[in-house]
Amino acid sequence: MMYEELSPSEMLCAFLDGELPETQISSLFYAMAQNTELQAELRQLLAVRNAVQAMPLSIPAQLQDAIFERSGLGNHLRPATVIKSGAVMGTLAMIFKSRAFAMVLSGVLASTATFAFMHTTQVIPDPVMITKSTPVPSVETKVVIEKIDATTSQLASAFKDGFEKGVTERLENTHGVIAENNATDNYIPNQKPNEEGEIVTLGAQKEEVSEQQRQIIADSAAFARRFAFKFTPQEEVIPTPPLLQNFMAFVRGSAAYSLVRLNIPAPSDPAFNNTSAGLLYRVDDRNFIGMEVGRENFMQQYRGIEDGIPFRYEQNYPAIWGGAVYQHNFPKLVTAYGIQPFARIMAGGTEVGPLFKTAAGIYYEYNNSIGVNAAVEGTSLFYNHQQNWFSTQKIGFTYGVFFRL
Amino acid sequence: MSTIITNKRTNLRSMPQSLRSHSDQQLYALVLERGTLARAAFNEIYQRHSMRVFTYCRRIIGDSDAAQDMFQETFVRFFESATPDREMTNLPGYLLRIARNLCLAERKKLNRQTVSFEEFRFPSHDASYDSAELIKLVETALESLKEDYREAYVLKEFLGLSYNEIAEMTGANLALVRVRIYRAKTQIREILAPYIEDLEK
Repeated sequence: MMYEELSPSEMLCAFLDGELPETQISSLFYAMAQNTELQAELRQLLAVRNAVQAMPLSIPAQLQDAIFERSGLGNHLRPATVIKSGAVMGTLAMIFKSRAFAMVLSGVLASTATFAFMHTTQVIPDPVMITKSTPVPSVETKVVIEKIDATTSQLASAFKDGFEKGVTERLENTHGVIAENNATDNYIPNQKPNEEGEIVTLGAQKEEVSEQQRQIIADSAAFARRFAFKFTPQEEVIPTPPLLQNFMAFVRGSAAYSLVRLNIPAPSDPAFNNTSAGLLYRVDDRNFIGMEVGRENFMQQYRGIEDGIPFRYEQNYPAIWGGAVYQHNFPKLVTAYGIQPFARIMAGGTEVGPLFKTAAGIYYEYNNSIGVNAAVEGTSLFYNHQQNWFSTQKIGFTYGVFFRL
Repeated sequence: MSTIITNKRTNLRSMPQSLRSHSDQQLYALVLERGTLARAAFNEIYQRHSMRVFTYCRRIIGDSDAAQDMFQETFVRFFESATPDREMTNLPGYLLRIARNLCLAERKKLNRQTVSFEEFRFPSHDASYDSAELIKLVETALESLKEDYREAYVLKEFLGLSYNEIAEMTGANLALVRVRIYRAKTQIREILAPYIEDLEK
């Protein structure tokens, strides 16, 4: 037998390796009881074994990647982080298929309808009426006729230029009346009967205009409505607002409820989360366009297949978003308090896909420089994974401050 | 076989439970098919047996970089050698055989100049050693062993193989394996005897 020929040391070694037959163990223990050197050897073997088995050893992480790459299996399984968006056409197709499109569409329609029904069209002033008994009130210059809606300062300047240049102009033919103007150094047009016998005005005569006539001209409602200027050169001119005064900056925060309910905390609390800032340009008193950027969390739920196994992924994704904004202001509810309802839509995107927001609320303008607003807002984020589109929606409350630059 | 797993952790997806319950033979069959589950099966095999293979490579070769190369090569060759005509009854043993062949060839290529046990001289022991130094001592002691002794010792002490398994893997008979292990332990013990007190700490 192999083990019967072993020395006590060899038996001890085999015993520690678990390879000594049970029939030999008693012999070994008897020998150890009699031999102190064998006892010391046991202690040393155990110490060395403990030291050897405690030697640290770890596999470098990059080796696994290298093995998978060389085997043609690509990267080994790693957590999914960001889902990349798909093509623009896919985006548009998803837009029309998504239920959130109704939110966007309603916002667009609401703004469009409001604009259509409440917008006041330009009123064409009545032409100057010339009657037989009423003196022709004043003269007009070529520039005045062409720029009927010009500002007062422009009209005053044009009047002065025309008056000095002596331009002859034919007025509009209204009610069979022909009126001519010869803006030379006086401004009282001549009058003569037309073919039908009605008094018409011809060129101006060199007559000094009396103060009374000046006042008639200035007070003529029809004349003022048409030509939109006052005779007195010293009349105060309303300056054109500087370009910057048409811009408005804003910052706002939001508190929203996700319609996709997941019990996942946000992975981190990034700076300026659930806030946004932007810039609006005043197109007119009711309409504004601009841009906005912000950051907020979105609950995402989507499905995919990995290695033939269907998976459902859930995550709480902090997204930085940006987009174009259109805002429409409705007539003030209470003029004295300056509270004005508004509707806003934002179309933009994040790094994972397109994003849309619609909001309706009120804003209060404290003075010409600052105001506050509050609104109810709906948000939709679309994202793509493995050629499938998914979406997540939020509804909540937004509040902010705006400043005129 | 399809499973829907819901993970309520952010940005994570986990291995399907079903592959963990697979045997080595079942995993090997999936790798063999080169189907959609091949990568997952190969990954499971790697998770189960990589530490043993890496320990073997690292303790046999000694050089860290060369050991990592042989470790990589072992799994790559395992994947490439997966063919239907190969009956896999002992997957971990197969991996170790691949590693063994590669490591032995690598050692010959490296032509390592090792100090034999008879010529080995440790510095005089006049101070306590910290754990890092003791580990270095043990590694150096391993390096001083003959290749046959070192392999048997690594397979026994580090990988926990039985004498029969070591005999099967190395092609030696049982008695020879026992002798090699005994002589390896004896030499290491004699080398480290002056530092036993530090080791026991």
